[in-house]
Amino acid sequence: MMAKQVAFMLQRRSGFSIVEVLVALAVISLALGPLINLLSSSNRASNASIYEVMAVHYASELAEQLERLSGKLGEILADARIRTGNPGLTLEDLLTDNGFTNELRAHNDQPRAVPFQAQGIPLEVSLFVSSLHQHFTERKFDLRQLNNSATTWLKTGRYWDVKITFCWRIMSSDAPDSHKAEFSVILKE
Amino acid sequence: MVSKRGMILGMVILVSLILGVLIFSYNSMVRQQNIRAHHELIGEVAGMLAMTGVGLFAEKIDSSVNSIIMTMAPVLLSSVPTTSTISVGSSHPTCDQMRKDFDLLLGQLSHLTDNSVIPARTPRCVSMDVSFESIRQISPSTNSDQFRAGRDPVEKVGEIVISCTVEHRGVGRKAQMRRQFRVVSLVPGPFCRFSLFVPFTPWAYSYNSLGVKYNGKPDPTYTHPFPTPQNFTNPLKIYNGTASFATTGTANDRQDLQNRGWIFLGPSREPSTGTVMLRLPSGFDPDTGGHFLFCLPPNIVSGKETVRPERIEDTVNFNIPVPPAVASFMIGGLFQGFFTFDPGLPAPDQQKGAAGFKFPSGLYLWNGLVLNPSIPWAQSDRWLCASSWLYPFGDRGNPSRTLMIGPVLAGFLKLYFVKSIPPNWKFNFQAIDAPQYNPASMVDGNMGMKYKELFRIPDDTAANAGYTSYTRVMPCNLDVKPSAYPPTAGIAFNVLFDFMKYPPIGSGYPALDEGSPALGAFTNPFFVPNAAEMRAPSSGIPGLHPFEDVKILFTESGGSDPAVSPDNCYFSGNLLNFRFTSENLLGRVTHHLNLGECTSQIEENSQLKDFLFRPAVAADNAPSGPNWLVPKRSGIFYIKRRSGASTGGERLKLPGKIFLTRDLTIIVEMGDLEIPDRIESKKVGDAPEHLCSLVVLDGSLFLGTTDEIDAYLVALNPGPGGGKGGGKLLSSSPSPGSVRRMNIFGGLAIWEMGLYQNSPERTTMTDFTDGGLIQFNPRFNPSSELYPNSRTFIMEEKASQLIVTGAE
Repeated sequence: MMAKQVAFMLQRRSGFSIVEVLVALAVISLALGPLINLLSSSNRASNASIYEVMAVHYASELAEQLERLSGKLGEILADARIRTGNPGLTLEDLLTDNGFTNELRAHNDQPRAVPFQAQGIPLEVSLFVSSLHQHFTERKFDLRQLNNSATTWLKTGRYWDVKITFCWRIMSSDAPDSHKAEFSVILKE
Repeated sequence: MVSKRGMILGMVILVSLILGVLIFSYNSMVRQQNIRAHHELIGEVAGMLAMTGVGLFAEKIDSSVNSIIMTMAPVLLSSVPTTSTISVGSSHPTCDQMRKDFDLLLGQLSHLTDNSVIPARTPRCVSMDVSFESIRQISPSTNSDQFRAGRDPVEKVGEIVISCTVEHRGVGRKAQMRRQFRVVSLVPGPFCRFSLFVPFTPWAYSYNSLGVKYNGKPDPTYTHPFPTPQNFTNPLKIYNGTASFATTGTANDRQDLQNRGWIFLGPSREPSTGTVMLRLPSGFDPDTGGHFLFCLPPNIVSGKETVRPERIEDTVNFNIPVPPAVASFMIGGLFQGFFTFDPGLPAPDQQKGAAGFKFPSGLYLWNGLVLNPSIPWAQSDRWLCASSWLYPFGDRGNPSRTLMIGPVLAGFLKLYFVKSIPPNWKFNFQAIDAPQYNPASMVDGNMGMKYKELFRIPDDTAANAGYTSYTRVMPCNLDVKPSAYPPTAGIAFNVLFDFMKYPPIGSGYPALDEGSPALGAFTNPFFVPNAAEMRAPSSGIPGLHPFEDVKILFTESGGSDPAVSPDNCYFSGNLLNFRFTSENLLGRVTHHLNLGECTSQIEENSQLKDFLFRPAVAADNAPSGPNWLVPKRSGIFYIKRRSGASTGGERLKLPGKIFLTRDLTIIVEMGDLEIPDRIESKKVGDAPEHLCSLVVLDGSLFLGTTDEIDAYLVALNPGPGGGKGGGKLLSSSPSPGSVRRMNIFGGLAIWEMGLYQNSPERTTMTDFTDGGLIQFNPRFNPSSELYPNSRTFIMEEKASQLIVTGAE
């Protein structure tokens, strides 16, 4: 009888007490909460940096092409002026043309050539762009003429600050321009 | 028995700790990645701006290349390389100025302002620098063959390395661009010293086709019989320079000479003599041409100088009465050259020209001509009075010091200007007012002699520099026998015209009281290459300039041996051997355009246009009117045609009106090239500022416009066996009323030009019966002091390497 009692007691001692389980659960819940939060925020941060790197590459491909075209801008503009009959057309008009900008920001599966447009008329010169990731909401140029009157050697021609802007969102609930990267090149017209 | 108490808790804590460590590690990695990505973004912005800086600097160098290169590394454009690398540090004023300018632009990129520092700042340019590396001579050899091929020892090839460092938010990036460069001369060859260079002349009288009235106006009634009857309405005038072009602000005869072009008419293909006979027209007519006239027309207003006629003593060939009987017509210059029509005579004698001129004594002026007994005389006789289609001596508004070398004989002029029969020097021209002129009083020379400046005997106490100059260049030959055929004696043009100094526009023509005293002041007597050889030429005809052994030097007073003074000798050799071939271009071509894949002429023309030209914009300052094109770039362009292109086939065509904003040489490898419209350059010092050369290596040039072409045209490919059928300048529409005259401001070098006697071969003369104008652009002259400006620094279009690295 005693032996049975001892064995029973021993059997009882081999289990977990409710208290122990409760404490463990409490510890787990206390620990996992912040950890999961941290994990989540890390994930978001990681995504953000991925998109930032993607933006760098997108910008780089545009900047390199603009640099390459810089020697031909006069020619491109002259062509555009002839096609549109607008002798006052500027580089800003070309790079911020609505049709051209819409094409730039459009999402496609494949890399493609986006022709410059002047007042809706496509020109013979294009920019080759990578397909834009779905989370990116914007790829555009903004131009601002720089004041070169104080320079000595860069007086002739018009110089433009060509700002290349990319916007993206990580969550669908985010605002379209919740994340943004801006780059610049200077072009001579 | 083991107790399990606390085990679950321990495990939970352990797992939580491990999770925590892992997640924190992950988070840390993500943070680092984030920082790296952000850093990359900032670096990319800095890198892009550094690339922009490099691009702007390269563009600046490209747009005002020679001035910048002359500032940074003048040795590149002026002498042979002595080192393979030239570094221009960031402290050089050029680089520093560019850095400052770029910095001013960067300072306006407000959206890139770094607000984390005080004061906030925008990206800034830290430095700009340039170096020239791997510099090599294109033609290391300086032997005479190289010069004869038109190569310049200063031409070189190498790499330009442009660097720009930009700092943005503490991140520095350095962009470095490498581009190959060439320094080449845009003067296509040694023949460019010539306004007109024509090595092949079909026969001795190739150029004598123009009927001329006594007063110098073309005679429309004259029909030239060879090779088929045809009418030439106007001469081809050749102005060997500009009216006012000068390399310095002060007049200097020697420089003036160097700024003039030359004329070379190769020997005629008549083997007995090889000479070319030019008959100079009579009279003076500023509209159609000039006249090398010492005496003025008889209707000149009072107060102008006139000159006494010379006594012509060649009674064998010229039955001219002696003064005073001769004075009645000599003073008016009635007999001053060749003319086919004398309006001063009643019909029908007026069409007898010089040959028909009959003196009261009953003798004809030129008994050497065969007169048809059934007057009016035969056409063949009239042809003997036909004048030259070439007017190489300018006019009142465009003085043209004629410099002609080669086996050229000019008829009649000698009768006026040179006479060597003792004891009296016969050129005692008198300067008096016309109304006062009394020929009888001239015989003793009682009146003052203004023109003694030029022609006085050497031992005369009044001997002057003008005469001394003349003695230095004159040939031994002083006798002309125009009746002798083939010609055995005569005067070469260069002798007649070299020493003449024409007055500027607006003054009298010519200034009879001016010799060329400045010329005589020079210690080097040979302004005419090989002047000494002219006195005893191998041809056996004194006065003929040799063409088989000629040296043309950069500076006339320098050494003439290419082995000793290589930099002074532009060419040395046989003028007949000067060609423009692909061998001349060794290493000099800066751009190749291969049209081999084109399937049609339209496609070839289109690609040529797209490659070389662009529409002019306002900044180009093109002349008014639409559709002007400007060159996209400077360089020597070698155009390879599509297969099947050949002479006489479909022609490559320039795209239209071209306004030159840069220097360029276009070389077409095969077939013909058409110039459909004007080519114009801004004029500086009355000469086109930019050098444009159009060269066909194996074809002819076709002119489709009578407007001005500011270019040097070259088609020097010889015909089969070195004979007829070589490179020519032809009209793209030679029908009457179309393109029958040329207007070239540069120069012309073609294989053949003149008429054949018997063959109906189409030539430049048959196409351009209305003549026209060739005006020399002194910038092409390799002897000009402006020649170094023809050397151009040309960068490769695309960078061979463009790298962005961290800034040092």
